[in-house]
Amino acid sequence: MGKKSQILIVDDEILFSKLLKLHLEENPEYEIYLANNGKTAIEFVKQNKPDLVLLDIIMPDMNGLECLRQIKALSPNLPVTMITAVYDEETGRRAFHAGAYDYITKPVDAEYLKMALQVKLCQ
Amino acid sequence: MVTPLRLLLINDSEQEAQFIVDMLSGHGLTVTYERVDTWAGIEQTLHDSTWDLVISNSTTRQLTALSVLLHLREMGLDLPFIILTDAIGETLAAEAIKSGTHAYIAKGDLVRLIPTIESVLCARTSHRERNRIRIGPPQQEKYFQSLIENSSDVITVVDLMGTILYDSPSVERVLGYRQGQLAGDSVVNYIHPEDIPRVTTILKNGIKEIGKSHVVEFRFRRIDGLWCLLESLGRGYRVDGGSIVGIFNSRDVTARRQTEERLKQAISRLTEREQELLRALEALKHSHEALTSTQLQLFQAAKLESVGRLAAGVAHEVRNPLAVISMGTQYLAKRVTTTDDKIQEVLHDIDVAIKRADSIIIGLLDFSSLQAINPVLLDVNSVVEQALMLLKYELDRHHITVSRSLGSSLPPLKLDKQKIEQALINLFLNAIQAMPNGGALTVTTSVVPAEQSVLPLGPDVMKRFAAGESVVLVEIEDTGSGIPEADLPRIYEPFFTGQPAGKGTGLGLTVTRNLIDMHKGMIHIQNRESRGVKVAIALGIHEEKSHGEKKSDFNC
Repeated sequence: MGKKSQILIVDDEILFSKLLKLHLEENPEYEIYLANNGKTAIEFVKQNKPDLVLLDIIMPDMNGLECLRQIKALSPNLPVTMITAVYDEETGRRAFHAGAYDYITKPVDAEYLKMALQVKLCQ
Repeated sequence: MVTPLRLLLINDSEQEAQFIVDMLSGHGLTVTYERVDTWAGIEQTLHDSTWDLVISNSTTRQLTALSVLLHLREMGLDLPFIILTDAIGETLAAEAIKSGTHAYIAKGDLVRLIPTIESVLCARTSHRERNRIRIGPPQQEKYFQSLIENSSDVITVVDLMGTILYDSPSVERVLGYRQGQLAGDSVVNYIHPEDIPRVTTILKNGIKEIGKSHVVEFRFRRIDGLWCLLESLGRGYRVDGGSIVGIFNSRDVTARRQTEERLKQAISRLTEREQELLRALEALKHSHEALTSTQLQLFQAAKLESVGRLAAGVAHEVRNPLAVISMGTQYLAKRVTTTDDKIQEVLHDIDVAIKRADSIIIGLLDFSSLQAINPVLLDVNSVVEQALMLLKYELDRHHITVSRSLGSSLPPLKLDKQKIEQALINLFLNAIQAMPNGGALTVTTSVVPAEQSVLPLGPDVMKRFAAGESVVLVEIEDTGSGIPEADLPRIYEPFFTGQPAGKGTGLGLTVTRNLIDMHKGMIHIQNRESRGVKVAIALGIHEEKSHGEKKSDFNC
């Protein structure tokens, strides 16, 4: 490992991203970055090659699924976890097809999420 | 048409009778005849038939011509009467003439018979003329004569043999015959064969009771050959000479009878039409009801769809800030190191409130996801068991005993497993909430004809299922607090809840009913007679079973 894991949180709901960042930063191994729209997120992935992305689905301009496809085009092995306020089966299915590896709904249980990320990043 | 001469022969010998008839026929007369030689024979034949002429031997073994003649006169019959005699004596001749015999002929002189018959019949006609004139207008009767002449009824006078003696002028208008044309002829020649007995009975018996009226209806042939229905009022009348005649007032009721017949047919057509209209009305009522019900369903569906869309939107917008609050309290709960219990309590309360808000959102989302179902063939009992298993912890915690009476031979049903399971869980949760301190939950499944599900489901069940159609019935009973009667009509309304604030979203039964509706089933909830609530669900059985249906539409 050595190097800190870079995690990108993409969500137009800044208040949520900020709090999630506070939670995740409790793990000193993580470096947390925020993007509030898909375009910024893709730019970040291009530049910084993060280790994991937490991606909101419903966002203005570019939605999470489109953003996911572009990220996967840039970096096929980059793990992406979808976060959404409203789960619907169809969107879930499309997300997995597009390469997401997990899908969680708000409100998020922070402890659970941290464990899940740890497991993924240790693989 | 030649009218035959109706001849009554009083004679012991058929041979002789035949000889007379042959002779008359040989002279160009058309003759029908009957031979009699006893009193009984005479009575019978006078009763059965009418006659133009009697030719009697002066004596037969049982009869004498004179006694027969007198008898006829007593009966009021003024028939032409010819006596055949072997040797006629002066005394007999005198008696005979006195008694009204028209002629007598020695058997050796039979050649005289033809001219005698002709002269007798001719005299007879002039006799009738006299009779007619007698009925005619003596001065004081001018008034009555005028009435007869102008009457629209045909007034006919006939003798007891049915011979027409007189007909009034209206005979021309009604039947087409000139006045007097029918005189001397027998009515039976004009009456429809089927109606003759009716008329002769009146003639033979009826009109002898002088002064008594008889009504008879018969068909009479008009001059153009068509049948005219006459209604006749007849009455006997004794003319001066002592003989009896019948006077008939006849009226053409053909048109009236036809009108009556048409009226009867029209009434029957009207009745039929009325029945048809009533049936049409009934059908209209039915389709109106069906239309109203469809309209309501459409309205309900449209409402649900828009509420569903709204719910999904609201859920998204509310869940984001809710997620922020949730994350925030989770963070604070970890970081606040104070020993102040109140702060921990407040944080806990906030967490409870967040969960409650989230459960309402879950309800809304359930509501909004009620669009499509994904049915596969399933055993209802296994879904019931699954739902009970998921709630085992809650049931045990509230000391609720569960008894099952699950039908052993239920047909598999096409169901969306998740949705039916969700509906059952909602109902079980309601039961659990109604029995916080324990009780009994009974689940029964059975297959019954639709009409047997009316008791648990109400009469509307017959609108959804056909009579005789089998349905699977799921019944859930609890021993809880029941539902206040006033609340029963509102239990399916969104956000209507019988629970205290904070417990229950008020969406459970709304969602449940919609889930059952999506399966074209029906749900009904009522209070039990003792205590608690009984929920009944009827689900239709789809006949096209197990043909390639096992593979469901899992789209992965």
